[in-house]
Amino acid sequence: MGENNRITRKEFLKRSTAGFLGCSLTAIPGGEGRSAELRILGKTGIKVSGLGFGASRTMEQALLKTALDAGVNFIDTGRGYFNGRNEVMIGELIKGIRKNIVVQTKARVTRGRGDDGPATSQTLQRVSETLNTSLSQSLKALDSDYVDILLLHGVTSPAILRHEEVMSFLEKAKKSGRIRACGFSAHFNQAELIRAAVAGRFYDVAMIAYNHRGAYDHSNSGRHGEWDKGALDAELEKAGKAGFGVVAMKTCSGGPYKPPEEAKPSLRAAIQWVLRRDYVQVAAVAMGNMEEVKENLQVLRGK
Amino acid sequence: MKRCRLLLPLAAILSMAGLSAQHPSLSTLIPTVAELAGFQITEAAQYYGAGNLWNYIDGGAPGYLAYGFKQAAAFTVVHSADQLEFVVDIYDMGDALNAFGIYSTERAPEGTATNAGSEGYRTENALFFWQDRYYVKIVGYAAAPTMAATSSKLAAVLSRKLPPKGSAPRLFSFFPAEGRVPQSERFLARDVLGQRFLRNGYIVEYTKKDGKYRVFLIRGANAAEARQNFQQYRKFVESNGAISARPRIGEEAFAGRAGAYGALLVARQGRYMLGVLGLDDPDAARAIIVSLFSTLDRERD
Repeated sequence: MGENNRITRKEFLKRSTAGFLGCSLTAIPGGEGRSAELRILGKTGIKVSGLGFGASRTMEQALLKTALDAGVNFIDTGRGYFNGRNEVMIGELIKGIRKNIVVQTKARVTRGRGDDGPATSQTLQRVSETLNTSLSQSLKALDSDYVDILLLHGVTSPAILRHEEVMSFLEKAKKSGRIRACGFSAHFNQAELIRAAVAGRFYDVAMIAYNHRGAYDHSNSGRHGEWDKGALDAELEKAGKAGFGVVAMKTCSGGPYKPPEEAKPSLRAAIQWVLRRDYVQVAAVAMGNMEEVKENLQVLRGK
Repeated sequence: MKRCRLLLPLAAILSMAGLSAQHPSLSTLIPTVAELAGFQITEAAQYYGAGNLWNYIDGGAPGYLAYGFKQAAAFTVVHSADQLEFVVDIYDMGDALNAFGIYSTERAPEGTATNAGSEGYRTENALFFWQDRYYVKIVGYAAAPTMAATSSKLAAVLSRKLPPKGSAPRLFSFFPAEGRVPQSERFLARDVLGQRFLRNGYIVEYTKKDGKYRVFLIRGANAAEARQNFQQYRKFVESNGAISARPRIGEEAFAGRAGAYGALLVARQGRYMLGVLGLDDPDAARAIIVSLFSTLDRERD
């Protein structure tokens, strides 16, 4: 892990006091005084906990509150999750501590045809309207003036990233303060997309499928994906050097990982494997029940 | 033999696409040109099964699969008069309880109620309803002055193609009426209260002076399963909070507090496990549970 990207709470407070980063960490993020090691998400300056709460599988506030109380400050959601109710659930919970929480949400560029559906010229002409509606609804649902990170949901082709209307919308959203950073999520074709985004110097963050196995099998949906580990790692190395932020997903969907020093494989070790990469700042792990929350929180405590 | 050679690849293709050959009827629910009077299909239906639903709704897919999702059809229509365009999704959830379940987890209480389907509501650019085993979404691009009228007209067309309307799962009618938050009833197929071992839960929200509290009911397959659920939940509370009392309600009960859940009172009787979460008035919580058990008893008789 690059030292520039990772700072301890103690060091952070020291720097804060000196005005280096200009804000305080004392309230981050939960109400029980616990804290987690914070990282800087690429060049965005956004400070994030290594373990992120993937909220796509739950509407139970108690799970999220448990994670925030333990030191998690990064929440991943999406306009499409539970028809936007997921954002409402999050917004209600973080009221009063909003500034200490990093909320990442997603908007679809092409509506109605999913990840790998055709992006027709008609739908592409409407991207600005679609994205604007989606972001406005996200802000209302989250009861917030801004989202920290807005991702284009489920991008499969660099063409979307280079689309003028998409870039224009994101640029305006940033200037107006409605979003702090922008990026995209991708389950497939990660290396090509990262390469394109880094070369274009427009996007700040990518959320990509990434784990120790180089493949994932989703336990619930049966979804399968795999990638060339060497090629992706090479692009991620360059991305890290360029200050491009990376959020990993599907970190546990590659199965448990067994480090040489441990007797048994575990999902906790699988998350830690991801977080040991210099170029990954957050492992956003989808958590659907308290058992999963407790197991994943061990990562924060270094167990 | 020749026929077999032809059929096998077809089966493989269907399987790869995640489509189930056992549910081919969804296509018959898509209105014909004549039935769509005033609307035109501009993008033909695409079908999704359990194996490829994530192609369409990505991270939302696991939630649908938990509710027994069978198949979905998605198509686009344009209304001739005002040129409003809608993406229509029809989800076959296998049965009415599951259709209500997924609808209820996504329902926006602030939406405007419509008479579409068994229950439905409108937002500024969309309309949602459930009917029989189907959950239907009609989503436009943006708000428009004619959105409400046009989306309702389309909902009526779609509703006529579906089996007759039903009503919300009956167990919800047993919950107390006083303080009940409208449209807050939810049926959770799994991870009820965020607990892996709790399934098939009915939850309703209520208002109190300083916020909300929840009442839940979990119907086990039998008394043994309910007992096991109760004991596991009690263990969870013991290790994540504290049990303060064991009141005499039903066959077994406990009161206490657990982290983010706040105050709670949980009781079991037969196959039913009931609870009140987030209500700091133990007498009121007790009255709710006693009343619910009493109603369930009468129902059994």
